[in-house]
Amino acid sequence: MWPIAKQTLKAAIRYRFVVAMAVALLVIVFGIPLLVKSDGTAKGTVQLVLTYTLGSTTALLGIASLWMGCGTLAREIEDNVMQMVAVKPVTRLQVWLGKWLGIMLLNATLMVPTGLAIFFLINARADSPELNEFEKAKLQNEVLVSRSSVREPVRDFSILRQRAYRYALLVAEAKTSYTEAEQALRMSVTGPEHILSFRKDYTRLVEQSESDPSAEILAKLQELERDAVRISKASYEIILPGQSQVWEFQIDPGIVDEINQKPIYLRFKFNADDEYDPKSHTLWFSIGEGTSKRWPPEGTFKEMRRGSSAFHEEQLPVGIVPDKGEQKGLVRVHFMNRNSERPIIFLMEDGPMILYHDGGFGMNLFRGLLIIYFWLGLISAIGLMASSFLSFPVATFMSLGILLISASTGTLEQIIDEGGITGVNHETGRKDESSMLDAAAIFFAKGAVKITTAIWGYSPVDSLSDGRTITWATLFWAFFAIIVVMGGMVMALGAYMFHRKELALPNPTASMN
Amino acid sequence: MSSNETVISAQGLTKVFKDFWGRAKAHAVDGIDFEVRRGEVFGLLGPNGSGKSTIVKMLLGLLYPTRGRITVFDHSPRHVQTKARIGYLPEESYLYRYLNSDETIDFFGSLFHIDSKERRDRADQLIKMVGLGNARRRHVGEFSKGMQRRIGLAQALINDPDLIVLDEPTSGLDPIGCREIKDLILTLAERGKTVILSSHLLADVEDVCDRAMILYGGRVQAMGTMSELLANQNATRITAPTLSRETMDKVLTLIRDDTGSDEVRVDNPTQNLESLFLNIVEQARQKEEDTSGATSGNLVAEFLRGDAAGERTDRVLDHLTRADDEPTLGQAPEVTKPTKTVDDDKLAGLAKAAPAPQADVAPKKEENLDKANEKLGGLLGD
Repeated sequence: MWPIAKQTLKAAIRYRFVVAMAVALLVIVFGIPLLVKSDGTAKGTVQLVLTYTLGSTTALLGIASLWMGCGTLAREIEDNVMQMVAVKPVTRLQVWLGKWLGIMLLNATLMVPTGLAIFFLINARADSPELNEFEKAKLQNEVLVSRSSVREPVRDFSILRQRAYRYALLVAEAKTSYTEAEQALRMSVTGPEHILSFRKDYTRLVEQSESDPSAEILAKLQELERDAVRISKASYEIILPGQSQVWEFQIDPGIVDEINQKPIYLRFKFNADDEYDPKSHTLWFSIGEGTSKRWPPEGTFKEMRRGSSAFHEEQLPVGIVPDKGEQKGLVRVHFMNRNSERPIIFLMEDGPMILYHDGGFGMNLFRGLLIIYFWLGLISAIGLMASSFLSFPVATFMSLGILLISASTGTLEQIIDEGGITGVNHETGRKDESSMLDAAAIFFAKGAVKITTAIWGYSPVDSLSDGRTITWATLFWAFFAIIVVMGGMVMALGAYMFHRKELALPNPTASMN
Repeated sequence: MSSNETVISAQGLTKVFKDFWGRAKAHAVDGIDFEVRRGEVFGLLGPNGSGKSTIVKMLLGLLYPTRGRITVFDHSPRHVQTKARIGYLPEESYLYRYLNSDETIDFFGSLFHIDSKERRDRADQLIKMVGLGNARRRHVGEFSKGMQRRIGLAQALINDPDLIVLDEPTSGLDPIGCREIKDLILTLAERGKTVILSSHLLADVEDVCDRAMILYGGRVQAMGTMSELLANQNATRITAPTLSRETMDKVLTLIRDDTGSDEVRVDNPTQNLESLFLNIVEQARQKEEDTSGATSGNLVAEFLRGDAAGERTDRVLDHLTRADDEPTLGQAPEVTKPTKTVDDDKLAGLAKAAPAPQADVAPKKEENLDKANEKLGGLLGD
């Protein structure tokens, strides 16, 4: 396997592929900073440079990996050189893995200097004498840093039908006192289950479904439950005028003293039901109510105008995290909507979070580049898999098709939302009747979205440009999802097809036996 | 020379090439049975498309039989440990063009898990053996066809194989190179190696093979030892020391009385391989046997021929069909006796573990070499 890997790398070097790629990467790394137009701040410029440089590097190396993956095997099969390797005492799996390893060596050869160049270039920019101390500090604290995030615990919006049914019956009784079991039931229900208890038809539908579990009854029941979940989530996310919301972030008490040495940040994004373009809105925040540390002083709120539909980071004072007693590490964020008309919406997936310093930019960049490296591994495996049984041009076409589908998640999600690909009722935004074609499309779209999320969901570019930590755990799960699971499946299929391949067929259109 | 150990065994071996839709496109090999024993030099002989290369590629695991079975050293041709005992020289140069001679040998050697020092030693010896000592730093892509054959041969021998499969080994080589290859084959056979020689060059097969299989249309038309194949069964040759006129007359009278025929001649009734081969192909053609390969095209294409070309063609045909006793050259060129160029010591060093040669090998080799020399001498009028 190793000699084949070395030979694959040697081929890329001898055919000047490495030189061409190195020149292209040099142009990206040193050229993009000259072209980028930012918001005028040092932070904005560095964030854009990081985003574009890493994005372009990923795209270029991705295409190169695909090209190499498709070319190295398919061309050797077409040129019959592979016959000379296959008659030697190596298994087809070893040949396949050797080729993959060779491409990964090539990627490493290109990525290491590229990563180092990005690191030193960005640091040189941050140290530029043109920047004042404030900008330098902002860069160091908000971009060229590794900051961990703390979110609220995930809220439970699940529905247990039997529990919801029993609770709805209990509510219907309108009792004033409860037994111990009833009290336990009351304490265990989730938000959606609580909402269902106000729907008189819910208990009736549950009873009907037990005696007559027809599709119609079940569909109605599920619709009720979906509505309850939606309402429950909305009541958490939407803050109406005059209402407030409190989020609690628990930081590990063991690191509070260390965290309090540097500023922490409140990161959030909100929507305000703006009809067209995002607009600025006034927000009122208070930190640390009911704890030993407060900001601003008791009974007041920090007022700020911020644009909707964009992420914002508010620097909180150094030492704001409570460092004593039971509330050690607890950061309580209170938001008040004092607007007269507009509701303010904090979607859970964008939910507010606390960012705190936990490391340097270099190691974070290293972890981010490793995730990109995993992507390249998967892309090259897809190319190799396709070329295991297809000619070079067809394999390239197929691999590009796979990548394009995986990148078009918007279309796939739309198919799922609209309940298929045919005839949508524009009033409801959903299909009236589903066909077999719709069912097949939804099945395919759901599978593709799941796979795509497992691959691209670990995107390190945003985290790096926002100075957010890519944890070792994230790195491990990225490796597991991208290389072990997805890569493993692609490799298994590719190696099997290559094992079946007759390498001396007289022409490429002849089939396998 | 050969032992009873079976190296290759094929039963009902069939290969049908199919198109994209699974429809049979060509029956390249059709129900072939054969065995090759250890130490044999076995020839696969046939016109283009007769199935030689398909058989070779099936025994290397590069093509899979449609029906039937083929084993090499009692295993499937795809068995990894079995492949460690095989050396293969394909009919074309299928090498990495960007590697030089040293790197080529080193790369293929590394696939056999030979340690680097041993690889370097072997590469050194092999490159010298095939006469590429002065070109070891040049990329294979820059090589002439003959040089590519030589480096191809070197890589085929890097593992000191027990079975060497040579597909058209002399194609593209100059006469000296051809001679060297044949000498090498004989030397390897002498050392107990089994050699499969696929060729349509009759002289190659005749010179070095112990047994041969003649193919046409994917089927075996004839198979046997070279002496069996070349013997003329309709005549008897008596070999004796020089006889006096009287003795000769007595013998002739006795034979004429015994056979009741006047058609007794004193000559050397031999049939050469070329005529045997052509007869077999002609017979097969008369029986209208199918072939997925080329058939003889007796006509020159009209757009190529023209009148002058037609006359020229006739002259060429006249020249080719002229009797042997009409010399076409004023003076026959002087032929130097071929010398053996393979370094036996180096080869022996490459294959320390090879089994001891059988006692009757050396005389056979001499016999073959002498026979080849005689033939060359005869052809060139020596």
